[in-house]
Amino acid sequence: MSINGESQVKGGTRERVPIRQLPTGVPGLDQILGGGLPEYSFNILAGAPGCGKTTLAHQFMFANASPKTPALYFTVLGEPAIKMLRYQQQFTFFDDAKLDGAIKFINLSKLVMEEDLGAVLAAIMKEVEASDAKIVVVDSFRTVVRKLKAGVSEMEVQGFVQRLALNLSSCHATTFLIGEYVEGELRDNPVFTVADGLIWLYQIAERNSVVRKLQVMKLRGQESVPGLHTFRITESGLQTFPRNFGLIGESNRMKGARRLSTGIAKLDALLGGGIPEGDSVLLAGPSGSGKSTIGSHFVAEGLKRGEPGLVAVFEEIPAEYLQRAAALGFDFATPLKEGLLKVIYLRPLDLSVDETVHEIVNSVKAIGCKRLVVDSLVGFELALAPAFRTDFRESLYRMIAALTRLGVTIVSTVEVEEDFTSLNLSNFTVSFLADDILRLRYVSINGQLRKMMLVVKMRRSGHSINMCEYQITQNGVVVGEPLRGYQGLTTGIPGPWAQHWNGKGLPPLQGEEEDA
Amino acid sequence: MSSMPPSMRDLGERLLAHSSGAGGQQVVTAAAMCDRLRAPLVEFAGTEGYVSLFRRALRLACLRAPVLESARIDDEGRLLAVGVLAGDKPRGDQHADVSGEQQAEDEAAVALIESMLELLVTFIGKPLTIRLVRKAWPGAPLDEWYSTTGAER
Repeated sequence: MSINGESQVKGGTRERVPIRQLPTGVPGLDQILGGGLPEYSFNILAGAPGCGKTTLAHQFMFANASPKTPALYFTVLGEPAIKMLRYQQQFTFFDDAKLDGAIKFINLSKLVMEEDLGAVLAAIMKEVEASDAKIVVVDSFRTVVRKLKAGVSEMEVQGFVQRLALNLSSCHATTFLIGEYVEGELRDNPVFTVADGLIWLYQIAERNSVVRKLQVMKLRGQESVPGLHTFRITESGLQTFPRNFGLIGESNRMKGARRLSTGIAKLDALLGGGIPEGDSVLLAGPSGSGKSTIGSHFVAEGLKRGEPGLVAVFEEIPAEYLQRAAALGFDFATPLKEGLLKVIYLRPLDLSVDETVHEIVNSVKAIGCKRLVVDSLVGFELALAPAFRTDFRESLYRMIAALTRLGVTIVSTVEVEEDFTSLNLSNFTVSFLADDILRLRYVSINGQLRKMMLVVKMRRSGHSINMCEYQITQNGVVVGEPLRGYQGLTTGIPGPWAQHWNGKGLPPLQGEEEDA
Repeated sequence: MSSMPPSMRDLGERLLAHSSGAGGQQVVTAAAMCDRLRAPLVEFAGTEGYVSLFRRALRLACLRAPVLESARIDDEGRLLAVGVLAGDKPRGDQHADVSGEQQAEDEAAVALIESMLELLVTFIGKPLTIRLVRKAWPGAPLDEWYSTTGAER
C-alpha cells in the first residue's frame, strides 16, 4: 500500500490529505491507476458479460481483505453465488482461508426483487456497519438500478446512488459496483456521475482471436495512465499490460556514451567504431542473408564482455536457436546456465504487442540485459492477434522507446523482399524507429550471387559509406573488402563503372581510410 | 453424479450422531441438520439457492432411500411429509417390521445429509464445504475426522 500526501507547488511543498492507494492484486493495474486504487473511493467496474469484471473484483477483494479489513460481496440477480464460488476458486488468488472472517458473501436477490430502494440501502448499510467492512462489492449493481428505475424517477435513482456512496465512504469502505453497461450509457447514467473511479473492460472479437482491453475512464484524486491497456485472463486472474510498460519518469541515460562492438571487427569499422550504446539498430535483408547470425555475434560479443544478453525469437524455438549458434562456435549454453543470457520464445498467435513487450521488459530487468536481439520483426508481427497488427508501428515505437530508456541496445532483424531494381529498407516502414540501419543484400556479380552490406543510416554519428562484400562461414559472418569498380550495386545487378566515367577511370573515393 | 466419496458419508454419520437426541427420529434430525446449513447457505446463495440445493439433495437421497419418496420441501426449505416414516408410527407389537423400518429411516437420514454435503462438495469443493460445516456445528467433535481426511483447520 502506498501513500500519496505531498505535492510540489510554487514556492515549496504543500501538505495535502493523504490518499492511501490499495493494491488491486491485478498485475500491472496499479501502474495503470497511478499507484493503486484510492482508499475509500466509490468505483464502477463496467463492461459486457464475460469480460472479467467479477474476477477483477475478486482479485481486489482477496488482495486486501483481512479480519481487520473485512470485505462484503453482495450478489444481486447475477451469477448465482454458489456457481461464482465454484468458478472463482479455480483462480490461484482465491484463498478459502479468507472466507473465515475476512470475506463474506451476501445474497440480496430477494430483497431487490421484493423491496424498495430504501430497504436495499438499509440492508447494505446494516451489513457494512455490523461487520465494519472496509471493502464492499455489489455484483451486479446494474440490476439494482434497473429495478429501481422501473418504479422511480431518475432523480431518486441518483439520490440513492449518492446516499450509497456517501454512506459507504463514511464507513471508510472502498467500493466496487459491478455492472454490464454499454458505452452509450455513459452520458446520462447517474451512477457514473457519482463514481470516483470508472474502469471499463472490453472484449473484442477480431477475426479468429479475442482481444481484451481495459480503460480507466475516470479516477479522482490521482493521475492514471490514459488509453486502452490490453489484459489477459489466466489461472492467476487478470493480468494487465500498461501501455507505458510500467516505465515512468524521465530517463537520464545518454545514448551513445560508448560504442558496442558487434563482434565483427570490420562491421564495427563500417559502423564508425561499433553500435552507439542505447541505440536501436535495424538489420534489414532478405532470407538467408545472415541477419540472425549477425545478431548472434552481437550477443556473443556482449557476453564475452560480461554484458547480459537477451534474444527474443519468434521464428524458431530456443533449442533450435542455441543449436544454430553452437554450430557457428558460439557457446550460449554456459551463459544461459549462469543467467547472463536468456532466450525467450514468443510464438502464440494471439499476443498483443504490449504483452510481448512486457515479457521482454521483464526479462531485460531480470538479467540486467544490455544487449537485446529481436529476431525477427516479421515473426513478431505474425505472432500478434490480427487486431494488434494495425497498431504494430505505433506499438513498436513505444517498445523501442521503453527499452532504450532502460539503457538496452537493440538489434532487430527484419526480412525484406529482395528485388533487383531497388533497395528496400523494410517492408514494414519501421525504419524511422531505428537509430541505425544496416542493409544486407544479394548482388549478382560475374555469374555469382554474392552478399553485400552497407550502413544506410546512423543517427548522430558518422559511418562508412562503403559497400562491403561479406560471407557467412562456419565461424559466422566475415566481412571482406569494399566492392570497387561497380555501379548499380544497390540494385543487386551492378555493372562496371569504367564504361560510364568519361574514360577517366573510377570516381574518387570518400572516407576510404576510415574503414582501414 | 459420481458415486459418493465415503468421507462425506462418514462425516454425515458423525454429524448425525452428534446431533441426535436419545431415540429421536433420524430423518427429522437430518432435516434439522440441513436446516442448520441454511443460514450460512442462504447468506450467500439466497433462500432459493438453499431450497434448490436441498430439493436436489432429497431427490438424490430418494434413489438410495425410497422411504423418502413421500417427503417434500416447501418454498422456505422445510422438509414436509416426514410423518409417513417409521418414527411416527406407534411402536409396540410389530417389533420386526418396526426394526426394519427404523433401519430404512436411519439410512434415509444418512442419505439425506450425505447428499446435501456431497452436493456442496460438487459445487464449491471440499474445503469450502467443511468451512460451512464448521460454521454450522462449531462444537462438533470432528477434529479426528478432519485430520484423517486431510481437511485443514
